[in-house]
Amino acid sequence: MKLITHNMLTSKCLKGVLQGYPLAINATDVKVTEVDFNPEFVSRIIPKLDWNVLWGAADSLGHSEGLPKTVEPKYEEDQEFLKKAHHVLLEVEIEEGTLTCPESGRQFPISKGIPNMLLTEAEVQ
Amino acid sequence: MDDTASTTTSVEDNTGNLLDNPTRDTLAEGLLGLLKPTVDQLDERVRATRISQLELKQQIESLNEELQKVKEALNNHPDLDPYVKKLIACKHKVTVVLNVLQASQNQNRAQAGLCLIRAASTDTMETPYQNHIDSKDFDHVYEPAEDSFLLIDALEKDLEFLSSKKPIFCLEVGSGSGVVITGLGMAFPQTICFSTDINLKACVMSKSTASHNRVALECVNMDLTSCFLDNKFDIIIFNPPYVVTESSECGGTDITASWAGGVKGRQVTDRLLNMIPKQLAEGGVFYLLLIKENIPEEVADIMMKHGFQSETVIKRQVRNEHQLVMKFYR
Ligand SMILES: C[S@+](CC[C@H](N)C(=O)[O-])C[C@H]1O[C@@H](n2cnc3c(N)ncnc32)[C@H](O)[C@@H]1O
Ligand SMILES: C[S@@+](CC[C@H](N)C(=O)[O-])C[C@H]1O[C@@H](n2cnc3c(N)ncnc32)[C@H](O)[C@@H]1O
Repeated sequence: MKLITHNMLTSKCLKGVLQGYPLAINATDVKVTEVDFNPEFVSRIIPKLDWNVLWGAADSLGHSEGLPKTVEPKYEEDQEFLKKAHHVLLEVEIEEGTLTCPESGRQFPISKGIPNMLLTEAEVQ
Repeated sequence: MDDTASTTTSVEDNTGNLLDNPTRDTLAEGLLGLLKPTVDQLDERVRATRISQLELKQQIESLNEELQKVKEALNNHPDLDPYVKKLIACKHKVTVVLNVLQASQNQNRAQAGLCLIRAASTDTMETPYQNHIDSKDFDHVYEPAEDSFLLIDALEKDLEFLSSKKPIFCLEVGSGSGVVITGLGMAFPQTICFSTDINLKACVMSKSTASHNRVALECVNMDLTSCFLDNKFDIIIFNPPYVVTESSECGGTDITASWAGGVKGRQVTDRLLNMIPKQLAEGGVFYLLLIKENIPEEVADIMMKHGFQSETVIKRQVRNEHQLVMKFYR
Protein backbone atom coordinates (compact mmCIF):
# COMPACT_ATOMS: atom_id res chain seq x y z
CA MET A 1 0.00 0.00 0.00
CA LYS A 2 1.31 3.37 -1.03
CA LEU A 3 0.85 6.49 1.08
CA ILE A 4 -1.48 7.92 -1.57
CA THR A 5 -3.92 5.18 -0.55
CA HIS A 6 -3.44 5.84 3.14
CA ASN A 7 -4.36 9.45 2.36
CA MET A 8 -7.79 8.30 1.13
CA LEU A 9 -8.66 5.58 3.65
CA THR A 10 -10.97 6.06 6.63
CA SER A 11 -12.59 3.82 9.21
CA LYS A 12 -15.72 5.95 9.45
CA CYS A 13 -17.76 2.95 8.34
CA LEU A 14 -17.26 1.58 11.87
CA LYS A 15 -20.25 1.94 14.14
CA GLY A 16 -19.82 4.96 16.42
CA VAL A 17 -16.82 6.38 14.54
CA LEU A 18 -17.21 9.93 13.21
CA GLN A 19 -14.08 10.73 11.20
CA GLY A 20 -11.90 7.63 11.40
CA TYR A 21 -9.18 9.68 9.80
CA PRO A 22 -6.26 9.56 9.51
CA LEU A 23 -5.54 5.96 10.33
CA ALA A 24 -2.39 5.49 12.39
CA ILE A 25 0.32 3.49 10.64
CA ASN A 26 2.37 0.78 12.20
CA ALA A 27 4.65 -0.76 9.58
CA THR A 28 6.86 -3.79 10.04
CA ASP A 29 7.95 -4.03 6.40
CA VAL A 30 8.36 -1.01 4.14
CA LYS A 31 9.55 -1.29 0.56
CA VAL A 32 10.82 1.49 -1.69
CA THR A 33 10.50 0.98 -5.44
CA GLU A 34 11.51 3.39 -8.13
CA VAL A 35 8.64 4.88 -10.12
CA ASP A 36 9.13 7.16 -13.15
CA PHE A 37 8.99 10.78 -12.07
CA ASN A 38 6.48 12.94 -13.90
CA PRO A 39 6.41 16.46 -12.39
CA GLU A 40 3.25 17.47 -14.22
CA PHE A 41 1.34 14.47 -12.92
CA VAL A 42 2.54 14.91 -9.34
CA SER A 43 1.46 18.58 -9.53
CA ARG A 44 -2.03 17.45 -10.44
CA ILE A 45 -2.23 15.03 -7.52
CA ILE A 46 -1.16 17.53 -4.83
CA PRO A 47 -4.45 19.48 -4.67
CA LYS A 48 -6.37 16.20 -4.25
CA LEU A 49 -4.46 15.33 -1.07
CA ASP A 50 -4.62 16.05 2.60
CA TRP A 51 -1.04 17.26 2.89
CA ASN A 52 -0.90 17.20 6.69
CA VAL A 53 -1.93 13.58 6.68
CA LEU A 54 0.64 12.73 4.02
CA TRP A 55 3.37 14.48 6.00
CA GLY A 56 2.39 12.65 9.18
CA ALA A 57 2.32 9.29 7.39
CA ALA A 58 5.74 9.90 5.80
CA ASP A 59 7.08 10.97 9.16
CA SER A 60 5.81 7.88 10.94
CA LEU A 61 7.76 5.78 8.41
CA GLY A 62 10.90 7.89 8.74
CA HIS A 63 10.55 9.34 5.24
CA SER A 64 9.71 12.97 6.04
CA GLU A 65 13.22 14.35 5.74
CA GLY A 66 13.22 17.42 3.50
CA LEU A 67 9.45 17.20 3.02
CA PRO A 68 7.93 20.60 3.84
CA LYS A 69 5.05 20.67 6.34
CA THR A 70 3.00 22.93 4.11
CA VAL A 71 2.59 23.26 0.36
CA GLU A 72 3.88 26.56 -1.06
CA PRO A 73 1.68 28.48 -3.55
CA LYS A 74 3.94 27.93 -6.57
CA TYR A 75 4.71 24.31 -5.83
CA GLU A 76 4.34 23.27 -9.49
CA GLU A 77 7.59 25.04 -10.29
CA ASP A 78 9.56 23.54 -7.44
CA GLN A 79 11.20 20.40 -8.89
CA GLU A 80 12.85 19.46 -5.60
CA PHE A 81 9.54 19.61 -3.78
CA LEU A 82 7.75 17.62 -6.49
CA LYS A 83 10.43 14.93 -6.39
CA LYS A 84 10.03 14.53 -2.64
CA ALA A 85 6.26 14.43 -2.95
CA HIS A 86 6.57 11.86 -5.75
CA HIS A 87 8.80 9.74 -3.54
CA VAL A 88 6.54 9.61 -0.49
CA LEU A 89 3.33 9.29 -2.51
CA LEU A 90 4.31 6.67 -5.03
CA GLU A 91 7.60 5.03 -4.15
CA VAL A 92 7.24 4.18 -0.47
CA GLU A 93 5.06 1.12 0.08
CA ILE A 94 3.90 -0.64 3.22
CA GLU A 95 4.09 -4.39 2.71
CA GLU A 96 3.28 -5.56 6.23
CA GLY A 97 1.83 -3.74 9.20
CA THR A 98 -1.39 -2.40 10.61
CA LEU A 99 -3.62 0.64 10.31
CA THR A 100 -5.37 1.76 13.47
CA CYS A 101 -8.66 3.65 13.76
CA PRO A 102 -7.90 6.86 15.70
CA GLU A 103 -11.22 6.75 17.52
CA SER A 104 -11.96 3.12 18.29
CA GLY A 105 -8.50 1.60 18.21
CA ARG A 106 -9.72 -1.10 15.81
CA GLN A 107 -6.77 -2.46 13.86
CA PHE A 108 -6.72 -3.29 10.17
CA PRO A 109 -3.92 -5.59 9.05
CA ILE A 110 -1.86 -4.93 5.93
CA SER A 111 -0.52 -8.13 4.45
CA LYS A 112 1.43 -8.53 1.19
CA GLY A 113 0.73 -4.86 0.56
CA ILE A 114 -3.05 -5.30 0.77
CA PRO A 115 -4.93 -3.62 3.61
CA ASN A 116 -7.83 -5.63 4.99
CA MET A 117 -10.65 -3.19 5.71
CA LEU A 118 -13.40 -5.81 6.01
CA LEU A 119 -15.72 -5.38 8.98
CA THR A 120 -18.00 -7.84 10.71
CA GLU A 121 -21.71 -7.14 10.47
CA ALA A 122 -21.79 -6.08 14.12
CA GLU A 123 -19.14 -3.43 13.46
CA VAL A 124 -20.94 -1.65 10.61
CA GLN A 125 -22.80 1.65 11.08
CA MET B 1 4.30 -41.00 5.38
CA ASP B 2 1.34 -40.28 7.56
CA ASP B 3 -1.71 -41.82 5.98
CA THR B 4 -4.37 -39.65 7.60
CA ALA B 5 -5.87 -37.62 4.79
CA SER B 6 -9.64 -37.71 5.08
CA THR B 7 -10.16 -39.24 1.65
CA THR B 8 -8.01 -42.24 2.42
CA THR B 9 -9.58 -42.64 5.83
CA SER B 10 -12.99 -43.12 4.31
CA VAL B 11 -11.63 -45.74 1.93
CA GLU B 12 -10.10 -47.55 4.89
CA ASP B 13 -13.39 -47.47 6.70
CA ASN B 14 -15.02 -49.39 3.93
CA THR B 15 -12.33 -51.89 3.09
CA GLY B 16 -10.55 -52.67 6.33
CA ASN B 17 -6.76 -52.89 6.46
CA LEU B 18 -6.06 -51.34 3.13
CA LEU B 19 -2.86 -49.86 4.48
CA ASP B 20 -0.76 -52.97 3.92
CA ASN B 21 -2.92 -54.18 1.17
CA PRO B 22 -1.20 -55.18 -2.06
CA THR B 23 -4.53 -54.62 -3.80
CA ARG B 24 -4.24 -50.96 -2.95
CA ASP B 25 -0.80 -50.70 -4.51
CA THR B 26 -2.00 -52.41 -7.64
CA LEU B 27 -4.99 -50.12 -7.64
CA ALA B 28 -2.79 -47.06 -7.21
CA GLU B 29 -0.51 -48.22 -9.99
CA GLY B 30 -3.47 -48.88 -12.20
CA LEU B 31 -4.89 -45.46 -11.46
CA LEU B 32 -1.57 -43.84 -12.11
CA GLY B 33 -1.30 -45.71 -15.40
CA LEU B 34 -4.74 -44.45 -16.29
CA LEU B 35 -4.02 -40.86 -15.30
CA LYS B 36 -0.54 -40.51 -16.64
CA PRO B 37 -1.39 -40.40 -20.37
CA THR B 38 -4.01 -37.73 -19.64
CA VAL B 39 -1.60 -35.67 -17.60
CA ASP B 40 1.07 -36.10 -20.27
CA GLN B 41 -1.39 -35.05 -22.90
CA LEU B 42 -2.41 -32.06 -20.82
CA ASP B 43 1.21 -31.14 -20.36
CA GLU B 44 1.80 -31.44 -24.09
CA ARG B 45 -1.19 -29.18 -24.76
CA VAL B 46 -0.02 -26.65 -22.21
CA ARG B 47 3.35 -26.67 -23.93
CA ALA B 48 1.77 -26.14 -27.33
CA THR B 49 -0.38 -23.35 -25.95
CA ARG B 50 2.67 -21.71 -24.45
CA ILE B 51 4.48 -21.84 -27.75
CA SER B 52 1.58 -20.23 -29.53
CA GLN B 53 1.34 -17.65 -26.77
CA LEU B 54 5.00 -16.86 -27.25
CA GLU B 55 4.37 -16.47 -30.97
CA LEU B 56 1.41 -14.24 -30.20
CA LYS B 57 3.61 -12.17 -27.94
CA GLN B 58 6.17 -11.75 -30.71
CA GLN B 59 3.41 -10.81 -33.11
CA ILE B 60 2.15 -8.23 -30.64
CA GLU B 61 5.62 -6.78 -30.35
CA SER B 62 6.12 -6.51 -34.08
CA LEU B 63 2.63 -5.07 -34.42
CA ASN B 64 3.67 -2.50 -31.87
CA GLU B 65 6.72 -1.55 -33.94
CA GLU B 66 4.62 -1.32 -37.08
CA LEU B 67 2.11 0.85 -35.29
CA GLN B 68 4.87 3.13 -34.10
CA LYS B 69 6.06 3.53 -37.69
CA VAL B 70 2.55 4.07 -38.98
CA LYS B 71 2.02 6.64 -36.29
CA GLU B 72 5.14 8.54 -37.28
CA ALA B 73 4.31 8.33 -40.97
CA LEU B 74 0.82 9.57 -40.29
CA ASN B 75 1.71 12.71 -38.44
CA ASN B 76 0.31 14.76 -41.28
CA HIS B 77 -2.83 12.65 -41.70
CA PRO B 78 -4.81 13.40 -38.57
CA ASP B 79 -7.93 11.76 -39.98
CA LEU B 80 -6.32 8.33 -39.68
CA ASP B 81 -5.28 8.92 -36.10
CA PRO B 82 -8.41 7.37 -34.53
CA TYR B 83 -7.74 4.12 -36.37
CA VAL B 84 -4.20 3.94 -35.13
CA LYS B 85 -5.45 4.64 -31.62
CA LYS B 86 -7.97 1.86 -31.98
CA LEU B 87 -5.28 -0.56 -33.08
CA ILE B 88 -3.12 0.43 -30.13
CA ALA B 89 -6.04 -0.09 -27.75
CA CYS B 90 -6.65 -3.46 -29.35
CA LYS B 91 -3.03 -4.36 -28.82
CA HIS B 92 -3.33 -3.43 -25.15
CA LYS B 93 -6.33 -5.66 -24.74
CA VAL B 94 -4.69 -8.66 -26.37
CA THR B 95 -1.64 -8.16 -24.20
CA VAL B 96 -3.63 -8.13 -20.97
CA VAL B 97 -5.57 -11.22 -21.96
CA LEU B 98 -2.36 -12.95 -22.92
CA ASN B 99 -0.83 -12.21 -19.54
CA VAL B 100 -3.89 -13.44 -17.70
CA LEU B 101 -3.87 -16.61 -19.78
CA GLN B 102 -0.22 -17.15 -19.07
CA ALA B 103 -0.78 -16.70 -15.37
CA SER B 104 -3.64 -19.19 -15.39
CA GLN B 105 -1.63 -21.63 -17.50
CA ASN B 106 1.08 -21.67 -14.88
CA GLN B 107 -1.56 -22.57 -12.36
CA ASN B 108 -3.07 -25.31 -14.55
CA ARG B 109 0.33 -26.80 -15.00
CA ALA B 110 1.06 -26.68 -11.31
CA GLN B 111 -2.33 -28.22 -10.68
CA ALA B 112 -1.69 -31.02 -13.14
CA GLY B 113 1.57 -31.58 -11.32
CA LEU B 114 -0.29 -31.63 -8.05
CA CYS B 115 -2.74 -34.24 -9.36
CA LEU B 116 0.19 -36.40 -10.31
CA ILE B 117 1.71 -36.03 -6.88
CA ARG B 118 -1.62 -36.92 -5.29
CA ALA B 119 -2.07 -39.96 -7.50
CA ALA B 120 1.43 -41.20 -6.87
CA SER B 121 1.35 -40.94 -3.12
CA THR B 122 -1.43 -41.11 -0.59
CA ASP B 123 0.40 -38.89 1.84
CA THR B 124 -0.78 -35.57 3.23
CA MET B 125 -2.91 -33.32 1.03
CA GLU B 126 -1.15 -30.25 2.33
CA THR B 127 1.67 -29.67 -0.10
CA PRO B 128 3.46 -26.35 -0.33
CA TYR B 129 1.99 -25.94 -3.82
CA GLN B 130 -1.53 -25.94 -2.51
CA ASN B 131 -1.50 -22.54 -0.87
CA HIS B 132 0.09 -20.95 -3.85
CA ILE B 133 -2.47 -22.42 -6.24
CA ASP B 134 -5.35 -21.72 -3.92
CA SER B 135 -4.47 -18.08 -3.72
CA LYS B 136 -4.57 -17.67 -7.49
CA ASP B 137 -6.87 -20.29 -8.86
CA PHE B 138 -9.97 -19.40 -10.82
CA ASP B 139 -11.84 -21.80 -8.55
CA HIS B 140 -11.68 -18.98 -6.04
CA VAL B 141 -11.58 -15.88 -8.20
CA TYR B 142 -13.97 -14.91 -10.99
CA GLU B 143 -12.45 -15.92 -14.30
CA PRO B 144 -12.69 -13.17 -16.92
CA ALA B 145 -15.70 -13.87 -19.11
CA GLU B 146 -17.82 -12.11 -21.72
CA ASP B 147 -19.10 -9.63 -19.14
CA SER B 148 -15.54 -8.62 -18.20
CA PHE B 149 -14.72 -8.04 -21.86
CA LEU B 150 -17.93 -6.13 -22.49
CA LEU B 151 -16.91 -3.71 -19.76
CA ILE B 152 -13.45 -3.37 -21.31
CA ASP B 153 -15.10 -2.78 -24.70
CA ALA B 154 -17.34 -0.10 -23.21
CA LEU B 155 -14.35 1.73 -21.74
CA GLU B 156 -12.50 1.41 -25.00
CA LYS B 157 -15.45 2.83 -26.88
CA ASP B 158 -15.41 5.79 -24.50
CA LEU B 159 -11.66 6.27 -24.51
CA GLU B 160 -11.83 9.73 -25.99
CA PHE B 161 -14.56 10.88 -23.61
CA LEU B 162 -12.58 9.46 -20.70
CA SER B 163 -9.31 11.07 -21.67
CA SER B 164 -11.08 14.42 -22.06
CA LYS B 165 -11.82 14.15 -18.34
CA LYS B 166 -8.11 13.97 -17.57
CA PRO B 167 -8.68 11.35 -14.90
CA ILE B 168 -6.29 11.19 -11.94
CA PHE B 169 -7.84 8.50 -9.74
CA CYS B 170 -9.63 5.46 -11.21
CA LEU B 171 -11.35 2.77 -9.17
CA GLU B 172 -12.67 -0.66 -10.01
CA VAL B 173 -15.03 -2.10 -7.43
CA GLY B 174 -14.94 -5.91 -7.31
CA SER B 175 -11.91 -6.24 -9.56
CA GLY B 176 -11.73 -10.07 -9.48
CA SER B 177 -8.78 -11.16 -11.62
CA GLY B 178 -7.95 -7.51 -12.30
CA VAL B 179 -8.19 -7.64 -16.11
CA VAL B 180 -10.47 -4.66 -16.47
CA ILE B 181 -8.68 -2.18 -14.22
CA THR B 182 -5.33 -3.31 -15.61
CA GLY B 183 -6.61 -2.59 -19.11
CA LEU B 184 -7.73 0.84 -17.97
CA GLY B 185 -4.38 1.48 -16.29
CA MET B 186 -2.60 0.60 -19.51
CA ALA B 187 -4.81 2.91 -21.52
CA PHE B 188 -4.20 5.73 -19.01
CA PRO B 189 -0.65 5.50 -17.69
CA GLN B 190 -1.08 8.97 -16.19
CA THR B 191 -3.59 7.91 -13.57
CA ILE B 192 -3.47 6.08 -10.29
CA CYS B 193 -5.58 2.95 -10.31
CA PHE B 194 -7.30 1.52 -7.26
CA SER B 195 -9.33 -1.62 -6.81
CA THR B 196 -11.40 -3.18 -4.10
CA ASP B 197 -12.76 -6.67 -3.71
CA ILE B 198 -14.51 -8.40 -0.85
CA ASN B 199 -12.60 -11.58 -1.74
CA LEU B 200 -8.99 -11.40 -0.57
CA LYS B 201 -7.87 -13.91 -3.20
CA ALA B 202 -9.27 -11.61 -5.87
CA CYS B 203 -7.26 -8.70 -4.45
CA VAL B 204 -4.09 -10.78 -4.59
CA MET B 205 -4.76 -11.85 -8.17
CA SER B 206 -5.66 -8.30 -9.28
CA LYS B 207 -2.38 -7.04 -7.89
CA SER B 208 -0.40 -9.68 -9.69
CA THR B 209 -2.26 -9.22 -13.00
CA ALA B 210 -1.50 -5.51 -12.80
CA SER B 211 2.16 -5.96 -11.99
CA HIS B 212 2.50 -8.53 -14.80
CA ASN B 213 1.44 -5.69 -17.06
CA ARG B 214 3.54 -3.07 -15.30
CA VAL B 215 0.50 -1.23 -13.99
CA ALA B 216 0.79 0.05 -10.43
CA LEU B 217 -2.47 -0.95 -8.79
CA GLU B 218 -3.52 -0.15 -5.25
CA CYS B 219 -5.72 -3.02 -4.02
CA VAL B 220 -7.75 -2.87 -0.87
CA ASN B 221 -9.76 -5.74 0.58
CA MET B 222 -13.01 -3.91 1.37
CA ASP B 223 -16.75 -3.92 0.97
CA LEU B 224 -17.56 -1.81 -2.12
CA THR B 225 -16.09 1.67 -1.46
CA SER B 226 -16.99 1.86 2.23
CA CYS B 227 -13.57 2.96 3.54
CA PHE B 228 -12.64 5.62 0.98
CA LEU B 229 -12.94 9.34 1.60
CA ASP B 230 -15.53 11.23 -0.43
CA ASN B 231 -15.07 13.01 -3.77
CA LYS B 232 -11.89 11.29 -4.89
CA PHE B 233 -12.53 9.19 -7.97
CA ASP B 234 -12.80 10.44 -11.54
CA ILE B 235 -13.77 7.05 -12.95
CA ILE B 236 -15.48 4.20 -11.10
CA ILE B 237 -16.31 0.91 -12.79
CA PHE B 238 -18.19 -2.16 -11.54
CA ASN B 239 -19.03 -5.54 -12.99
CA PRO B 240 -21.19 -6.71 -10.10
CA PRO B 241 -22.46 -10.08 -9.01
CA TYR B 242 -25.58 -9.80 -11.18
CA VAL B 243 -27.20 -13.23 -11.16
CA VAL B 244 -30.70 -13.28 -9.63
CA THR B 245 -30.48 -15.54 -6.59
CA GLU B 246 -31.99 -16.09 -3.17
CA SER B 247 -31.27 -13.13 -0.96
CA SER B 248 -29.49 -15.43 1.49
CA GLU B 249 -26.88 -16.39 -1.12
CA CYS B 250 -25.62 -12.82 -1.10
CA GLY B 251 -22.99 -11.52 1.28
CA GLY B 252 -20.26 -14.14 1.04
CA THR B 253 -16.61 -13.29 0.60
CA ASP B 254 -15.66 -16.27 -1.55
CA ILE B 255 -16.39 -17.17 -5.19
CA THR B 256 -20.15 -16.98 -4.56
CA ALA B 257 -19.69 -13.21 -4.15
CA SER B 258 -18.69 -13.03 -7.80
CA TRP B 259 -22.13 -13.99 -9.12
CA ALA B 260 -24.79 -14.09 -6.36
CA GLY B 261 -26.77 -10.89 -6.78
CA GLY B 262 -29.82 -11.62 -4.63
CA VAL B 263 -33.17 -9.98 -5.41
CA LYS B 264 -33.27 -8.80 -9.05
CA GLY B 265 -29.54 -9.57 -9.06
CA ARG B 266 -29.19 -6.06 -7.68
CA GLN B 267 -28.66 -6.41 -3.96
CA VAL B 268 -24.97 -5.58 -4.10
CA THR B 269 -25.30 -3.10 -6.97
CA ASP B 270 -28.02 -1.08 -5.23
CA ARG B 271 -25.83 -0.57 -2.19
CA LEU B 272 -23.10 0.85 -4.42
CA LEU B 273 -25.55 3.11 -6.28
CA ASN B 274 -26.15 4.93 -3.01
CA MET B 275 -22.43 5.43 -2.44
CA ILE B 276 -21.59 6.67 -5.95
CA PRO B 277 -22.79 10.29 -5.54
CA LYS B 278 -20.37 10.79 -2.65
CA GLN B 279 -17.46 8.78 -4.03
CA LEU B 280 -17.21 10.43 -7.45
CA ALA B 281 -15.12 13.56 -7.82
CA GLU B 282 -16.61 16.54 -9.59
CA GLY B 283 -17.16 15.61 -13.23
CA GLY B 284 -16.67 11.95 -12.39
CA VAL B 285 -18.26 9.09 -14.31
CA PHE B 286 -19.48 5.64 -13.27
CA TYR B 287 -19.66 2.57 -15.54
CA LEU B 288 -21.85 -0.36 -14.54
CA LEU B 289 -22.44 -3.70 -16.19
CA LEU B 290 -25.98 -5.08 -15.95
CA ILE B 291 -28.15 -7.79 -17.41
CA LYS B 292 -31.77 -7.41 -18.48
CA GLU B 293 -33.03 -9.18 -15.35
CA ASN B 294 -31.48 -6.39 -13.25
CA ILE B 295 -34.04 -3.98 -14.78
CA PRO B 296 -31.67 -1.28 -16.08
CA GLU B 297 -34.53 1.26 -16.29
CA GLU B 298 -34.93 1.07 -12.54
CA VAL B 299 -31.22 1.65 -12.08
CA ALA B 300 -31.42 4.71 -14.33
CA ASP B 301 -34.31 5.98 -12.18
CA ILE B 302 -32.39 5.53 -8.96
CA MET B 303 -29.42 7.38 -10.42
CA MET B 304 -31.65 10.14 -11.79
CA LYS B 305 -32.90 10.74 -8.25
CA HIS B 306 -29.24 11.14 -7.26
CA GLY B 307 -28.91 13.75 -10.02
CA PHE B 308 -27.21 11.59 -12.63
CA GLN B 309 -27.84 11.27 -16.33
CA SER B 310 -27.50 7.80 -17.78
CA GLU B 311 -26.60 6.33 -21.12
CA THR B 312 -26.24 2.80 -22.46
CA VAL B 313 -22.72 2.50 -23.86
CA ILE B 314 -22.83 -1.00 -25.29
CA LYS B 315 -25.08 -4.08 -25.39
CA ARG B 316 -24.45 -7.70 -26.23
CA GLN B 317 -26.28 -10.97 -26.06
CA VAL B 318 -24.25 -13.85 -24.70
CA ARG B 319 -26.15 -17.11 -25.08
CA ASN B 320 -29.40 -16.30 -23.25
CA GLU B 321 -27.98 -13.41 -21.25
CA HIS B 322 -28.58 -9.82 -22.36
CA GLN B 323 -25.64 -7.82 -21.02
CA LEU B 324 -25.18 -4.07 -21.19
CA VAL B 325 -22.91 -1.37 -19.81
CA MET B 326 -24.43 1.87 -18.61
CA LYS B 327 -22.62 5.04 -17.71
CA PHE B 328 -23.74 7.70 -15.24
CA TYR B 329 -22.56 11.28 -14.99
CA ARG B 330 -23.88 14.56 -13.59
C1 LIG C 1 -21.26 -13.04 -13.57
S1 LIG C 1 -21.12 -14.57 -14.37
C2 LIG C 1 -21.42 -14.41 -16.08
C3 LIG C 1 -20.52 -15.32 -16.86
C4 LIG C 1 -20.63 -15.23 -18.38
N1 LIG C 1 -21.41 -14.18 -18.85
C5 LIG C 1 -21.17 -16.54 -18.90
O1 LIG C 1 -22.40 -16.76 -18.82
O2 LIG C 1 -20.38 -17.33 -19.37
C6 LIG C 1 -22.51 -15.30 -13.79
C7 LIG C 1 -22.65 -16.66 -14.32
O3 LIG C 1 -22.02 -17.54 -13.47
C8 LIG C 1 -22.69 -18.78 -13.60
N2 LIG C 1 -22.45 -19.55 -12.39
C9 LIG C 1 -21.28 -20.12 -12.08
N3 LIG C 1 -21.36 -20.80 -10.96
C10 LIG C 1 -22.63 -20.66 -10.53
C11 LIG C 1 -23.34 -21.14 -9.41
N4 LIG C 1 -22.75 -21.94 -8.50
N5 LIG C 1 -24.62 -20.77 -9.28
C12 LIG C 1 -25.22 -19.99 -10.18
N6 LIG C 1 -24.59 -19.53 -11.25
C13 LIG C 1 -23.32 -19.86 -11.43
C14 LIG C 1 -24.14 -18.46 -13.85
O4 LIG C 1 -24.65 -19.35 -14.79
C15 LIG C 1 -24.10 -17.05 -14.42
O5 LIG C 1 -24.50 -17.01 -15.76
C1 LIG D 1 -18.75 -10.65 -11.80
S1 LIG D 1 -17.27 -10.54 -10.81
C2 LIG D 1 -16.31 -9.38 -11.78
C3 LIG D 1 -14.83 -9.55 -11.64
C4 LIG D 1 -14.00 -8.67 -12.57
N1 LIG D 1 -14.25 -7.27 -12.33
C5 LIG D 1 -14.32 -8.99 -14.00
O1 LIG D 1 -14.99 -8.20 -14.66
O2 LIG D 1 -13.88 -10.02 -14.47
C6 LIG D 1 -17.78 -9.59 -9.39
C7 LIG D 1 -16.66 -9.26 -8.40
O3 LIG D 1 -17.18 -8.42 -7.37
C8 LIG D 1 -16.69 -8.84 -6.12
N2 LIG D 1 -17.63 -8.41 -5.08
C9 LIG D 1 -18.85 -8.91 -4.80
N3 LIG D 1 -19.42 -8.24 -3.79
C10 LIG D 1 -18.54 -7.28 -3.42
C11 LIG D 1 -18.55 -6.26 -2.42
N4 LIG D 1 -19.60 -6.10 -1.60
N5 LIG D 1 -17.48 -5.45 -2.31
C12 LIG D 1 -16.41 -5.61 -3.13
N6 LIG D 1 -16.35 -6.55 -4.10
C13 LIG D 1 -17.39 -7.38 -4.24
C14 LIG D 1 -16.57 -10.35 -6.27
O4 LIG D 1 -15.68 -10.90 -5.32
C15 LIG D 1 -16.06 -10.46 -7.71
O5 LIG D 1 -14.65 -10.40 -7.78
